[in-house]
Amino acid sequence: MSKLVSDAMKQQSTVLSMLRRENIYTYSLEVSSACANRIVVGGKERINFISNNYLGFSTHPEVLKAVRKAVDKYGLGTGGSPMMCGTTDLHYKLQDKIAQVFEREASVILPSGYQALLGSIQATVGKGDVALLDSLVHRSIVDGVTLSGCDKRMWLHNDTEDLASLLGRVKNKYQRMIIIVDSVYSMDGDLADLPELYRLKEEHGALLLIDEAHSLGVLGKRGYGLPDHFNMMQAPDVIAGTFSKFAGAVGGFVTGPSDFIDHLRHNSSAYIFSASLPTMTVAGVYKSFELLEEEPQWRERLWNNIAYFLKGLKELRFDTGTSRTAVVPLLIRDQEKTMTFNKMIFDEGVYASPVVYPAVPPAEARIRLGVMATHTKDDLDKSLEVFGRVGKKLGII
Amino acid sequence: MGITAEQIRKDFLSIIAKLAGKRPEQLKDQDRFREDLGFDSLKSMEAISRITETYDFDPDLDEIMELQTIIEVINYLERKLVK
Repeated sequence: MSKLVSDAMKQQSTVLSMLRRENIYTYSLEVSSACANRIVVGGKERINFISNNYLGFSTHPEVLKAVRKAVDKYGLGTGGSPMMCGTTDLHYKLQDKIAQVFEREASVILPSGYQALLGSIQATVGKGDVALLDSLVHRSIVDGVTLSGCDKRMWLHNDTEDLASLLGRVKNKYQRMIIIVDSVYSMDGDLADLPELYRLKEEHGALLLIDEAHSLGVLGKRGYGLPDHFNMMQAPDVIAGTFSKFAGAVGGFVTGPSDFIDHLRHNSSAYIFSASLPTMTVAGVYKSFELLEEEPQWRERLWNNIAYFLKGLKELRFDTGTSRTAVVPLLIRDQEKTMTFNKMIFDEGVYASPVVYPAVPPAEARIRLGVMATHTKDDLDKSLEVFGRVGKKLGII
Repeated sequence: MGITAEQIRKDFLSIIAKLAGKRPEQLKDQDRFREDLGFDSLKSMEAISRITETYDFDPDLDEIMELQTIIEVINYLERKLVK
């Protein structure tokens, strides 16, 4: 091993070498096609259950048309950070659109969802404040809180009684408290309880920040995420999110009151010290927002596929946990079997993601599946047949 | 009246069981926080915060983060808290 690999890293390197030797390592494989319902991986077409491109917009003809038009006019990138020459007329147009969608005064675009969470937290809290995190929030939120310098407390996943108790214990010790949740949890596919979170934040004088990553485009009558789902658009104080899921692209956003967004622009290192999102991507994302209004049939197809697929998995007696959305875990609860199951379905033409320790506790090892609106009935049926056969062979079902 | 070793064990198992999603009687002294109970750094820090709240005692982070099993932490707390 090279001298750059420390003793602490050697144990992980040994495990990775073993997985590669056993031919069950399926992370970061070479993809040579667009991210559609079928994807070419390792030179062979497979059914795609590994993406977060739930609506399939990354290959929608109208999105691609908008991207081509923008690349002809604006070129590859903006050539600067947002404070320099990196905020084009299309960036402003998309920011206005996001603010309108979430019924807020203003919004700001960042180059990734990760940076959007870092920026939104860094702009909201600091030393003397405390962030109260659901135990399963995305890593970007944990890193954002660390960057902000505020204290960090955790409450049990979706357990609002534990949150209420924590709020009561810490409220007199800090200047400000901020509750931070994912709208939809990335590994389990369950939802945050927005009505109860709103009640608690009002009762205790806390702020509420939600991460709309896996919710935007999926939940709600209009596809505007968790606040739309509960018809509580004003419940969160700050909404952050990403374009990497609902649009299958990249980039992130933060939306809220105009003075707060202005403060973020001038104080968030995640925003200031990075080149801005390429204009061609901005154009594609803007069209994706329009498609939420113009073509609601994609959301309907997604929900039909989720219902059909979940029903099929339950009939096969797979444990799908508490999932209610496009993120579906197949809980196998054994790390070795999880990796083997994943390799076997991969060899049978289904590409999914194994999730093992340290991403989840060993007893919660699972295959993570991302259902798409563009999956055909044939895709779902074939996958169910493969999962059933492999699951029985390994004694999982 | 000072804190007893029995009380420390009961309080600590209650904190860990809640964070691990288990009942206190399901925990074993040799359970490792990371490998057996699936604690990540966020959950480990929250466990320390809840110990701090319960006993109004700030454990030395370098010392306590070195401990890997339930019994190691119970022994550590007994050393620090039982007079």
